[in-house]
Amino acid sequence: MNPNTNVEDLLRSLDPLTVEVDQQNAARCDSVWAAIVVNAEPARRRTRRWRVVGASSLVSVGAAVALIVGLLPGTPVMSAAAATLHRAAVADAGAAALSSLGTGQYYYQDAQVTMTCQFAAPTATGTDPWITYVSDGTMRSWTNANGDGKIVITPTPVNEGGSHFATPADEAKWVAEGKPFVPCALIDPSNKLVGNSANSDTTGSLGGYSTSVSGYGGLGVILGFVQNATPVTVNGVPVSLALATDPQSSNVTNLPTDVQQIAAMLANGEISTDGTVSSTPQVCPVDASANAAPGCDTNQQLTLIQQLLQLPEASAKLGSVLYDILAQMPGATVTANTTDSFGNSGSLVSVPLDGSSNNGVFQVLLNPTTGVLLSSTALASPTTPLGATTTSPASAVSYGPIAVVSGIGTLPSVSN
Amino acid sequence: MNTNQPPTSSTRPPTRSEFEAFYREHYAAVSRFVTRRVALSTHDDVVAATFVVAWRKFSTVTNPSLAWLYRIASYEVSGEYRRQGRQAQVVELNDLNLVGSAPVGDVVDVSRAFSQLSENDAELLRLVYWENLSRNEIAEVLGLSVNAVNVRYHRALERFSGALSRLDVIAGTVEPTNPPTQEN
Repeated sequence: MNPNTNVEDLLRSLDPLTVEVDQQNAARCDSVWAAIVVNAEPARRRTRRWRVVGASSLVSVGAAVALIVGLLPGTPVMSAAAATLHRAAVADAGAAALSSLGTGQYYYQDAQVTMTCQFAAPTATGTDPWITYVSDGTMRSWTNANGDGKIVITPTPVNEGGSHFATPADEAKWVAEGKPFVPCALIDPSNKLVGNSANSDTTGSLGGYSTSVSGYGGLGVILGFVQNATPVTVNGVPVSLALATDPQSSNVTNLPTDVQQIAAMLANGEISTDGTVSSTPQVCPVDASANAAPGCDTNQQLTLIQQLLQLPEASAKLGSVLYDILAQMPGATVTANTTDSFGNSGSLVSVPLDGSSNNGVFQVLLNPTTGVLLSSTALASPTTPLGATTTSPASAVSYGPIAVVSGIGTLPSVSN
Repeated sequence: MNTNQPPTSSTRPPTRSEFEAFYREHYAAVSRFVTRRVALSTHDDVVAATFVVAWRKFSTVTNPSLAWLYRIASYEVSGEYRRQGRQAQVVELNDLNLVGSAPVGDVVDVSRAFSQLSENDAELLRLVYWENLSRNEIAEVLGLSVNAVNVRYHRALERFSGALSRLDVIAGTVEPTNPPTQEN
């Protein structure tokens, strides 16, 4: 080495940042912002609800309930959807409660999931259409009494197990680009950076591709899940995406089960999309407009319920509560004897977002007898960039039974 | 370094549009800070987490500057290290800018000397030579006084020079040609 080389130059030479990487990071400014908006909300005190909702809050609780009731169109006449939801709420509330957790124990739930991913080459322009891919897979969750735990998502390989490109044109574009990495698909030899030298792995596991992932919004891991995911490998081959233990991933266990109480909290904006609670009214964490006052309107509450119901334990703990609130939403319809994409059969309740199916539809499939939540589905708005129709799920979760296990990674025994 | 003035008073949370303007002003700098410290595959996550925290705390600080963002980002980077079960990012040989312009052996030696520094020393030198921060800004990022930054800076430089000397990269004492600026 040149003996005149100075320390300053040497230290600068160690800077790992390259112009190429910097430019690629800059191109993701919008997608990172989208993830921030999803996850950010006004500061919330993470205190237990029943400690903070006391006599001093009764006035606001009453006002919020009045607000909800006031929003109801034709309250005296219960629609078929509302009646179905109310019956389900009653039945579900009467069902056996979840077992209490001992030290070191976790609630375990197995679910089938569908999500939609979009991705685009690093050189893609604004007019270059993204590739849309619908991924099916399984989701296993472990949640302890504090809401901490782990979620493991195992998608299927490309074009297997029901996973597919949204349209033949999407698949053709993927093939034309050399079959690059498909986000939210299982990595296997068919899903690598093969045959596309422009996608050399210089920018991480995604090969520089920009990604956008819809689905799992209620899990508090939307968009961030690809970045958060740590591949679980077998013989060096990633087989699933294990989300890091995150105390904010699921906070359902700390939510109350009283209908009026939770309704008031939803109306006050005190419940975040991941179940985190605040002791005071907040600007609604869902689509709040600039300078918005604290509180959530009806549609914002619906979105909150949609996301809460997608939390792994919510169907057991909050199903009946949220059904009753859902029943109050305008435009809800019910279709009996419906079979969802997972094969579950029950009564399907559909609620349009913003009062119009053009803005997307949230659906829950219920067992009309027991009230058990079988699945929830978010149908894409035809105007979203997903390129889907209102009959195509942007995300869907089919819930399995909940069991108590002794630790993260432990599966329930057959007797469970 | 561009010190941003808060678009809002310190008594109310910023609106989305207000914070978005703050985000877009500082995204590139924070992105570079994070890229230099964590694996590229976790870049977006750490950057997003940094701004989520900043959004929540925005109304609690009187001057939400870039140095303040760096301080938050450093916490998020530390969290990422813990999740990854390691103390600091290993600078891969292929990531070094010197590859292709200097003998590989020299690059390895410099990298090895840098890796022998404590994380505190290494981070201070990164802030000086990678982020090009002034002493005042470094003091804000690290939560130290300016005098403490000066002392630590010179000691870190001495230790890096010593490590280089032990590896026979550079013989003798080396002085920096351009120490960090005194003022913002």
